[in-house]
Amino acid sequence: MKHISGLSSALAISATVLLMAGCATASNDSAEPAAAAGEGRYTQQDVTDATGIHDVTSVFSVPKQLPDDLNLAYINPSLATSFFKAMSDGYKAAADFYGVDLHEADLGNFNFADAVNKYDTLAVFEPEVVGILTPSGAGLVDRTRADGVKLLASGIPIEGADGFIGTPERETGMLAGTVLADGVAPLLEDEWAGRELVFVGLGQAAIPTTMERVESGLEGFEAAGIQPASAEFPDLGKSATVADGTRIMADFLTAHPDQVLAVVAMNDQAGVGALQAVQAAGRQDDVRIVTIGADEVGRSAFKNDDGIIVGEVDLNPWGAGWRWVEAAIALSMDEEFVIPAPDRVITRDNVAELYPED
Amino acid sequence: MTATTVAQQGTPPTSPPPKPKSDPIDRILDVGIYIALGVLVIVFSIASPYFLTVGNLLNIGQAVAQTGILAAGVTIALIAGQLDISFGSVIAVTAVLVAVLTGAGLPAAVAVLGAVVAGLLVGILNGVLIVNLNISSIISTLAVGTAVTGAAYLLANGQVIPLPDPAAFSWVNVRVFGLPVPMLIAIAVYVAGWVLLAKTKLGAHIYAVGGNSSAALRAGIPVKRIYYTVLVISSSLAVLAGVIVLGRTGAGDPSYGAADMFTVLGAVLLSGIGLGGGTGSVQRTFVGVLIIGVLANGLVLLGVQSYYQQLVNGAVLVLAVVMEAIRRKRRSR
Amino acid sequence: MTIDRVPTGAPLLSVQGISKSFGHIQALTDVSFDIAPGEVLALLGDNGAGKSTLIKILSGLYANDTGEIRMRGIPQRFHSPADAKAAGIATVYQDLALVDTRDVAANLFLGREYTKGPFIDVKRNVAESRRVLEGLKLGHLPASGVAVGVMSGGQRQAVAVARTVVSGAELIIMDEPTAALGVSESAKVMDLAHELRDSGCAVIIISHNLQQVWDFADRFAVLHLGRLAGIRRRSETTVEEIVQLIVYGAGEA
Repeated sequence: MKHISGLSSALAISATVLLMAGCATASNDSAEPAAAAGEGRYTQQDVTDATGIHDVTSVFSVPKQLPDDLNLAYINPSLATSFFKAMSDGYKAAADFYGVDLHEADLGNFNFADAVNKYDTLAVFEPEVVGILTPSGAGLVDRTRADGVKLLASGIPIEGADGFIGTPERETGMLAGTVLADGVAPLLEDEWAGRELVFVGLGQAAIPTTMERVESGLEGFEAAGIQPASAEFPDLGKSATVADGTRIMADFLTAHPDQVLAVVAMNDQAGVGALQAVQAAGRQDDVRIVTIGADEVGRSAFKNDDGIIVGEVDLNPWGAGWRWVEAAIALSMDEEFVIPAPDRVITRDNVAELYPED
Repeated sequence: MTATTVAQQGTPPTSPPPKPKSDPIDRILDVGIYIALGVLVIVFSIASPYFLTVGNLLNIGQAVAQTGILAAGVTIALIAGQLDISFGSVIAVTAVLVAVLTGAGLPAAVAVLGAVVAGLLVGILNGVLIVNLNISSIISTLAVGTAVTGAAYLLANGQVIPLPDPAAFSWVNVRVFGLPVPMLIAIAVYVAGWVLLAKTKLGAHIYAVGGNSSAALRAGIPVKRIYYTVLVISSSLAVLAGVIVLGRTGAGDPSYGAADMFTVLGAVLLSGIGLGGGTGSVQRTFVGVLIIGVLANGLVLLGVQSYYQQLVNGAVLVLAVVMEAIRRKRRSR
Repeated sequence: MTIDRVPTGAPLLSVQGISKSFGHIQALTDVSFDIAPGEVLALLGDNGAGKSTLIKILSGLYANDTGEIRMRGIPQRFHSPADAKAAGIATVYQDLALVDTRDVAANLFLGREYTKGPFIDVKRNVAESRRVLEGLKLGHLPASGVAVGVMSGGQRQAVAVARTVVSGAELIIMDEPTAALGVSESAKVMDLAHELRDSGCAVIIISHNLQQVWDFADRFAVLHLGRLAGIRRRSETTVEEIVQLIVYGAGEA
């Protein structure tokens, strides 16, 4: 296994070894898989075997023989957020599996103003491709271009970047809306009959992709044949944390004492925050929520959600990290990669089966 | 009553009392930050082959420029006895205002002028609350800062506003003789700050006002004007930092500056300035800024998980506060 | 020590019929006295006798209701401490008004620094400080490099007094200069008062401790319940008489 660097590599590697303990193939057991693997490319089956329960759909068939010094860098927006922590574990595991170097920096709590400085720090490793999730990447485009480094935007497209990998927002939102519609349809026949239904999309006004996601949620909801009396999109603000979700939802519930609410949350944090607000207000019978992400925070919410969360669109954060590495390798080779739309929904019934390690 | 005994004791001193000297512990506290910086540089140099390279050191210089410029302003205000924590909001409003104004078709220079005016207004507003309404500086600048951040969000409509013409600010990313422009600006700010505080009458009065405002007032020093001056210096430097952030990121984001609170106050506190006023220097703050910058850089180079980075940063801050507590305790003996 | 030295010439400060009331409280009633250059006057009285009020009027913090203050025969109207200072009256308060974090030179020339353009002329400030300190036999104090905050109480008092000399004051009022000092340091402050006197200044020392000022003052002015109970030249009075004045006022003396 080729080392990432320093202390974190030891942690990352041990974590990866644990994750891969159940793998059938032995291809990644050797110290230098890329060098020892021989000709050809890794197949989807190889990836499926290697990622086990994370069940990653590959976006690029990576050659087994890669340049020795292929070097990547990822600027993580917030390792304190479980989605991005899972993503971090995912790209580290992929870097190990494919035998590339990967260095990581953390913006702390979404301190996007520091992105260029963090890039400069990582630039001493001379990466081929750098990845970042940021709503303000223009300066980074100039910097990376000046250095001849490829910028692979992650999650939020950056104008002028060399590439983008993220979930297709429209399809993701549509799926969430459909799941939500399925969840509330029986209620509309029964307890919610005759009550005013409000669609609520929890996104970040500052980040258009998140708004597209939740607005597509409304589209999917309506496409499933349900017409809410109104649709509202309160702003989660800068970081979209659990606390933000709770705060926004608590106020929203106060402002809508008699209505019933169908909620699409842009991420698990906002959805779980909203759930807590609903429980605190005792409005369990009036609200149904679908979240997007299915990270640890989201999945564990099923344990105590009073049946409010009808489903979580599985963005597979760990897999998203893995796939960023595949896409970065493709970009370094000037080859195409394909972004699949999410198709898996996590519910209280399948969560234990799909994420047995939780 | 036997008053004559007093007279006998009142003969002039035969030998001068020893000149008061700072004892070893005070001196260790004084040089502690230099030692800390030296140790960090040595440790990181050994641990990472990348650390002690020209490119990386310039990166550190570039990265600390923004923190450094802010910390210089905070230091000057703090020497006068005012803790100004509104700098983050000035960064946000500067970045957003310039992005909005250039987006509306105004030339970059005019947009920056608009931000300068906004910065001056923030400084003056801080002054009105602190000087005229006699509200403590931390509360005043917190309140003003919160309001200004709100205004920045309002102005940006909560959005990140990309610069229509990032080229107008690309000078921020230029290197002159191999040195990043923000670093050169920061160096200029520190030289100017040092001259101001150590060499000018205004500087002497800043120390005097911070050390004992009523004494300064009785000595005829225009105390209120000094307060206004330092607050405007502080907010103006925050505008400068905001322009640099804008040039670096190419966009105006109302969330900018929110994360600078820790690094800036950490650097300032590390310098051992204390919160009482009347002491401190920009040179020492500069060392504090470097410590924070070297830590941030070195820990990333070593691939240390950011949780540990936060832990280390927090520990550094605790150390700074403890050192200050020891210092104060010794002073009050 | 020329303790029986008698001042000559016209009074430096002349106070005539000063009264001051705060609402219904009459703090001072018809107080009159003179003080000549080169004279040390001790202003005595119990708490509430009116010492502070009188000093605050003389240093421009309060305006007197009635009466007149003259310096060298010229009537004065003080609207602020700056007016009093301009007239040549400097007051050393108990808090000393020192900037503890700065050195002696910075404190002596606080607000009146020698400058070259916008820059401080540090050399000149230090040199002038040395000169002033040596003139007051305080040459042992470091003029620069040591914050006054780390100095002893007596040394700090000395710095505060030296500053009044720098300000060019002719009348120096010392408000309870020995209140926080030990016996030996108090004596040094009294010596300093004599240095001021010998250089031609007039000194008013406020105290409620007769013992400390007895040997150092030329005259004693005693306030009792806002009135001047009496002024006595030391050569013509006794400790017992002054104590009587302090405790019982003029009526019983």
